[in-house]
Amino acid sequence: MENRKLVIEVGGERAQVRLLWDEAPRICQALWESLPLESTAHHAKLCNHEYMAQLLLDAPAENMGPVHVGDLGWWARMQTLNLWYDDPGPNGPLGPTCRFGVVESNLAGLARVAKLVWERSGQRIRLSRA
Amino acid sequence: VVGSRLKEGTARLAAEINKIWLEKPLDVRHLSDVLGAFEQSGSVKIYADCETRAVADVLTRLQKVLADRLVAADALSLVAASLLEAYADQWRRYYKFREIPAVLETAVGCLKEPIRSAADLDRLLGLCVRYIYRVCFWIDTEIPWKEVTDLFREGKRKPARTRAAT
Repeated sequence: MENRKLVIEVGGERAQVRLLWDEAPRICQALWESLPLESTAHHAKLCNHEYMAQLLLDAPAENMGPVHVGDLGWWARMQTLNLWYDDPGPNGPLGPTCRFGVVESNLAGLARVAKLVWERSGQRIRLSRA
Repeated sequence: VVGSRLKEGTARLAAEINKIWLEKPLDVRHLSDVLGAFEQSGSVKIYADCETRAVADVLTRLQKVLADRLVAADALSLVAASLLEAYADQWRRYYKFREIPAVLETAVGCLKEPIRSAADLDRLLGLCVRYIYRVCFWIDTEIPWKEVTDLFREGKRKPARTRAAT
């Protein structure tokens, strides 16, 4: 399971994510079986340093807790992935989040592209198996 | 008849989601032509963004009500039908949407039967959430967030407000 990693590509940046198979097995499994996935990336509006992408994926809520820089979260109700590329700031996150992955390479690249995601909402994002 | 309508309805919703997944819906492309106060489309887009987001969110609350068995599925089905029917009509008038209300009305047709199976209702509501939230994300691309940032970057312009003692 540890070898099954995720690659995120957005705005010309590519990052690798370690999936938290032990903590969020149902989200990881559902995601893994659905890969590759393509969507559009949109910056959060109420929280800082977070962007999100709706995914064609049904996965339940699990492993709810506080988030840290580099975490990937899953918003089950809205079928949306969240990615925190830096500190969520004083207004976020807005509640406990289902954590299912941690960016382990090129978080700086994902942070660099965040301005583009904010200013030109709807950047294409691709998720695939590493 | 109910089963076949539901089957067709869910298939249509799934197809419509795929259709707009990576391509902006025509209705959203036309939002720039929908002029609100002082002949601009910005306020229209902001309203459409917030309203689609809110409707998707409310539908997820209904799914929670269903999961918690607070209301029978058939009653909730009729509530959801009424809600979506009202928004289909409103979005035609407010945002001049044409295709999006027609998709919502497909769901309304299924919900009005009504749907008695909680699993079927949850599945249909989930598809409606996915579709409406997708529309919302596309509307988001119509809003010039860079300009919004420049206008409202309060923290850079003045010191933080302190709450007056009462």
